[in-house]
Amino acid sequence: MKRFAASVRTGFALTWKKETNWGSPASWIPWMLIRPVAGAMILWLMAGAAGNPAGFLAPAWFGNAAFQFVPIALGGMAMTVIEDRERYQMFKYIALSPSGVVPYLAGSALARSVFSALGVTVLVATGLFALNLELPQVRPLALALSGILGLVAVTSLGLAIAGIALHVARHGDLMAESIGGVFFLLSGAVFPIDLLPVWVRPLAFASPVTWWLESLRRSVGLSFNRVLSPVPDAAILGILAGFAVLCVVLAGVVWSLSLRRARWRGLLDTTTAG
Amino acid sequence: MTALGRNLRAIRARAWIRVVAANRELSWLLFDTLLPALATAGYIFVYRALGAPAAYEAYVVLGGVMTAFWMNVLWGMAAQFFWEKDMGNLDIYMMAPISRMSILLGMAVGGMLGTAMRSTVILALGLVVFRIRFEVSGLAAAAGIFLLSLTALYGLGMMLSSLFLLFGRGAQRWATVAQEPVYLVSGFYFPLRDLGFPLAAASASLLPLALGLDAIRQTALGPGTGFLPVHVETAALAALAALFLLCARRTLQAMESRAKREGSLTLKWE
Repeated sequence: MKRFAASVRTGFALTWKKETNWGSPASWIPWMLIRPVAGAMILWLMAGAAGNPAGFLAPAWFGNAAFQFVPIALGGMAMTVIEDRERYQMFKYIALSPSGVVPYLAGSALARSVFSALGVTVLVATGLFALNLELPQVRPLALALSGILGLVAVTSLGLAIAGIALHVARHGDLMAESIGGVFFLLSGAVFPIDLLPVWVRPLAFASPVTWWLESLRRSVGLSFNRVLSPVPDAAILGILAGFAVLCVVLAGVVWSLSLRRARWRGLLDTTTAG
Repeated sequence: MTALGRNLRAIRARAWIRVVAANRELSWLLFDTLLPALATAGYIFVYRALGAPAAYEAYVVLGGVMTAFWMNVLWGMAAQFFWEKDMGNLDIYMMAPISRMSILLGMAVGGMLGTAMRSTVILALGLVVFRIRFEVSGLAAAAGIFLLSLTALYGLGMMLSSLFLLFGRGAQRWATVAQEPVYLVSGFYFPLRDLGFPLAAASASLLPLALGLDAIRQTALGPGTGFLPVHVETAALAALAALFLLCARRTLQAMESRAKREGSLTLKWE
């Protein structure tokens, strides 16, 4: 357990230093915020260009804010694998260490999640205080529960993607970014999934992010997806919990198989970047 | 072999890597071409949710096409010399009996050709799946402005490649933050003029993307929501292209001279 905690701490500290470029908070906080804020401003301007119809901006804005966690949780560990293996050439030493790779990746994911949380906080505050968007009915317990279950599900998927990244030649970080884009389309982060063609909707229902965002929105009294409105709140939370368990199991299986196969294929110290 | 011949071969060789290598790995086709196109579709659905006119969906498609090229300029041009230094290629380029501009030109030409596939997929998605319609009469002019925009854009990328090299490890951070903020100030998904005149004018003065997109939209979709008249934007694009190419040459010389003085051409990870 001590070794596990030490490895998590190492992963956290190293990723923190790399991402902040060994700088002071004043030097990196603006860098961390500029992307999510600019992305949200695009959404705001799009709504403005279309005449700001009622009932759109609040669920889209807060959905987009929560979605900030998704690409980082999905791709953060894959980026760590690629960087440490191909750029810094350290991955083989981590894999050889007594605690293994997973706690190190967990620490790394935690550091990246803290950075995402900064963006989420600023976007929520901007929505509430600058744009005067309202959260009609906040239920803190449901909000916390939804938040935790969703993060567990998405971070687990991130571990599975990190396993796949071990086998993708070069630029595995592109893979993580691209998969984030697919979830952006399928989860109804910024538009109701009612608009998706009927044949695409099953894919949206199969995404844990869809249920996570729906659960988060309901826990603050917002609604966006008419197609999900007949499903009771408790059922949404139950489905999300089911997805969280499924994602944890899936991540364990995919990661173990990927790591074992990567060892056999000699991919732990491959340097294909370039 | 003459100097011209050597430089032409260098351009071809550097471009060849871009075109062939980018399409050699099948998984990249999925992750670099098909899946990012789906993210563009997300913005089309936003306009559908907003009940906006169909022209706005066409804005998104054209913005998505330019996104592909901007990403290539950022990661494949601006940050490239930094990666080349990390990999140990930069000092080899510097020793080769060719102009450094040939390497940059090769990267630009190869990048344009390689990225054309991704942008074609986005355009096809718009035309076939979302049934976006463009004014056929304006397509020839739009294509001309598009090529001019790419020249200016890749000129900017050539200039940035030297500057990013001077930023060192911070280059990746610059490249990362130049994504959504540039999409915002270039009006990738909404009319440029909605930014308000001061910001739109500042953006148009610095970013060929903003001017190019606005001009292409006016020619392919009609002049309804343009920021400046098309001929003004076209002239400004031509001026920006010349300026960036000139600056690229200057910054390249300055970077090389400084790196040689400081002995930093072969330093990794700094």
